[in-house]
Amino acid sequence: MTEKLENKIFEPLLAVEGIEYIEVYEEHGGYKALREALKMKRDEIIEEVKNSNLRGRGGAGFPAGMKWSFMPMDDKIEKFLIVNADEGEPGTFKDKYILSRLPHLLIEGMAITAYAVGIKKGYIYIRGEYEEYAQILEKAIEEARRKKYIGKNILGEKFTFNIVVHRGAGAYICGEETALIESLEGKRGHPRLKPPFPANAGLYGKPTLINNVETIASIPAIIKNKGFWFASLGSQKNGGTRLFGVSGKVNSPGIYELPMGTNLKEIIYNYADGIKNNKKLKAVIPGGISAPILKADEIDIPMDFDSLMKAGSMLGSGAIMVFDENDSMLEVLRIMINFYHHESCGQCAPCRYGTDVIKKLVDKIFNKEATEEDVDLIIQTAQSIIGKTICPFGDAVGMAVGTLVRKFRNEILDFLREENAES
Amino acid sequence: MPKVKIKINDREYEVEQGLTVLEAAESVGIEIPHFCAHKYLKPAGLCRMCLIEIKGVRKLQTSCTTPVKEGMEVYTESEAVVKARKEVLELHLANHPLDCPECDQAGDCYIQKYYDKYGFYERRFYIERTHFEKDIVLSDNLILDRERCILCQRCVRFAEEVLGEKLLAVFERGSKSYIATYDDEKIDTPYSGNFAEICPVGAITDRRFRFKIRNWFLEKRESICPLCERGCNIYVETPKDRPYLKMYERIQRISSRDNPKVNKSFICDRGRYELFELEDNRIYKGIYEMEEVGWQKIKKILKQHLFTMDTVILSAWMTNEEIDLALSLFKDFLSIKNIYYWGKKDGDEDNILIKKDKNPNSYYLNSKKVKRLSSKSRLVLKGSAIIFGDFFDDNDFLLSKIEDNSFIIMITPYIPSNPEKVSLLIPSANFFEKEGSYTNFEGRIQRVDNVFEADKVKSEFEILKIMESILRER
Repeated sequence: MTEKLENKIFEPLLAVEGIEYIEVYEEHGGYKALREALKMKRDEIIEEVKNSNLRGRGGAGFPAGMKWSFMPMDDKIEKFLIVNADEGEPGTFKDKYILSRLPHLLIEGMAITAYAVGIKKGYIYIRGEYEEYAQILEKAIEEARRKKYIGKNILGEKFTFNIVVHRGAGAYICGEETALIESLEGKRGHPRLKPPFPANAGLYGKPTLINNVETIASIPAIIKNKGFWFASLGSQKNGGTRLFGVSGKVNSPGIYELPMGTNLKEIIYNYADGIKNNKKLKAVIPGGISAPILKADEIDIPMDFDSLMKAGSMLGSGAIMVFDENDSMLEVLRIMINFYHHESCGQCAPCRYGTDVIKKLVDKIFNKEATEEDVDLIIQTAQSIIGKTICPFGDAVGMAVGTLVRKFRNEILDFLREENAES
Repeated sequence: MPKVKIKINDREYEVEQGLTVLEAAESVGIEIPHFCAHKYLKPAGLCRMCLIEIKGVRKLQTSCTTPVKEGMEVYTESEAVVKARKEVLELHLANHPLDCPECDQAGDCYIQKYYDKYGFYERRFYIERTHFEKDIVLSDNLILDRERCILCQRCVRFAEEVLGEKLLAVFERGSKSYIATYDDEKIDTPYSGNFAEICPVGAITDRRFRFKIRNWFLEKRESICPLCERGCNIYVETPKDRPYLKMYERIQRISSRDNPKVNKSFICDRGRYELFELEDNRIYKGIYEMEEVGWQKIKKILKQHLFTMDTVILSAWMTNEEIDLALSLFKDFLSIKNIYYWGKKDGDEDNILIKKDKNPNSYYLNSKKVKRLSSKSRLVLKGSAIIFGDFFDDNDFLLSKIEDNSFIIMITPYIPSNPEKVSLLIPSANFFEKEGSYTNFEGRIQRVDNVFEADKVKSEFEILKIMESILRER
């Protein structure tokens, strides 16, 4: 490892044994940022977050400071904070490290955020399968409450903030912020029409700030070391470090905290120790399944929001999935479309019907019944979904599926030809 | 309402502020295809058919959810819009059963209408269609075909937003989504017919209309519903004038007619299904002393008795014009003191459409200070009386209060339940055969043309005119 540990936010803490206990967390500088923040003016905190170039870690990469500043500052209005811990994007397993090992970092981040924006109640919407982590969080919240880091009159100040942990019921779409809000309200998880945005009318119609776990957990470090320090860790307009989750055919899969803008090639070969069994690299999905796939010759690219956008993909959740020469891209396509088909909420017609049509076309390929036109039809149908849905799910299906079929069209056609020859 | 200037397809329009682009375009006669948007339901943005291009906005926007803004420039038929529309429509059709030949919605179906204009025409998806249940009984009046359903959720939203009840919902998810009632319970509401009418496709159809007649054989004639004092605006749908449609009854279907101030585009089930009863039990011949009589004889009898009338009972189903004429004859000219009116019994009411008073014109009679008779009235008819009646279910109470040896002239389209009490029965036109105005519960005057010609009988107005000429002859 070449980076100095002090230039990282999560790894130094993750290395500490027992960090999930409040005493250990405090020994390692825990809740100092909250103390500091409570002495700051609220707009100073927001200014620091703006300076930090912290961008939403859930996937969209929206500047966090800007999102905060959309919230009305009037404290007479009831406002809510929601931490999105739904972590549903296939390939993604970063938030669970924070949830399971650094619950107090998240709580501290939430308290600072709530103080800065003037919020009294926060929710952690946690993926239903993370039952164990929900319990860890509950315990940590109880500890923090006893030590007056949350609750009434926090650290003796006139600031009250409480946290509720809410477990999701397993729908991918509930990671979309407005579907999450609907779900939290006890309704069917359907994304809402925007506008109004959550900052104006979110949970129960009240202004709501909703951020990813990793985003909120980055806040204490920003307060401690100032926004510009955080910004300097990453690349231009992409502040801080990122938890990259590498999985697939690499020698050392796992979570790597690296500066924003670290080269993807470097991550795969230097950190994840290259491709397993010395096989050749075939393709990489750089940011969770919804990030359009990159071919082996496209991976010399800085992992930041803007560079990947330019390359026709996205940084997404930072979940890097690596495929080697033996992996069938057709199989990847099938897994992908089965997932989207299963998880489309069904609200918008193009997504509901589009995922269905594509799934059937892919099945047709596997049944050796497809023609070349059918393969191209997948690309066209994917295109038909893009830009026509309420939430970004439709765009994700369209982009991810369309790109995969376009880039590996020949492999799919070869499969068809070879099967046809046999039969 | 303040106005804003917007451009649609490069032409400038002034439209009401607060409208959506879809509504604004519609208000100037530009149709934007849509399934889920409905004038009286909140925008849902689900079907994505109404996508439009807005100058300066990168992505296409749904016109049903976008409010108009001063200076906005909108394109509803640009290349990008038409392409998107074709794609969305193609996806809507991917699983559609295409059973138009046996679908009651055919001819009136949004999918058909838009396919005509925006279809790809060439089939691209050679895939197996997903099958759903096709004959779910939703209520006594409704049947649901899930294969035809495009999940626009108009039915779900109608129940929630207009009726204020959660009756239906989308179950399952994604392409498995389907509409159902909770616990498969039957829909129990006096507004059930609206579910079939509001459905843009043939998913929810009306069991009383199913397989009766094709939509394109029907002509919609404007009328109002007389079954309560709201006076909901309706269409009476009648077979077109074609030789091969002669065998059909003249009323095939009653549907709602949009009037934002009276009933929006909804009607209750009584209006929709019970109006047919106005066609039953008709009489077309005059009866005097239990024998059929023609108009010559009727006039003769009227001449003998008109001047000695003791009592006149008007009906709450008479038009404003008929009431005016009757009052001028009986009250002003003949100075009859005992002038009353009667009507159908009061019934249930709600705060949606249904009113307690089950007659179309009580308001006007009340405003003329005519007293209403009811089953509790102590009036006993003596001597001679004229009774106007339109009633086919509730005329017992009055006829039981007639003293023997009275002379009763009854003017009615229907066979009375106690014909032996009636001395002279004059047949008249029924509601659909009359023209004139009615005043509803809030004083709104609504004029209706006759839906059908009264070829066998005369309207009350014509009968009153005959009485007038008899009176003037003297």
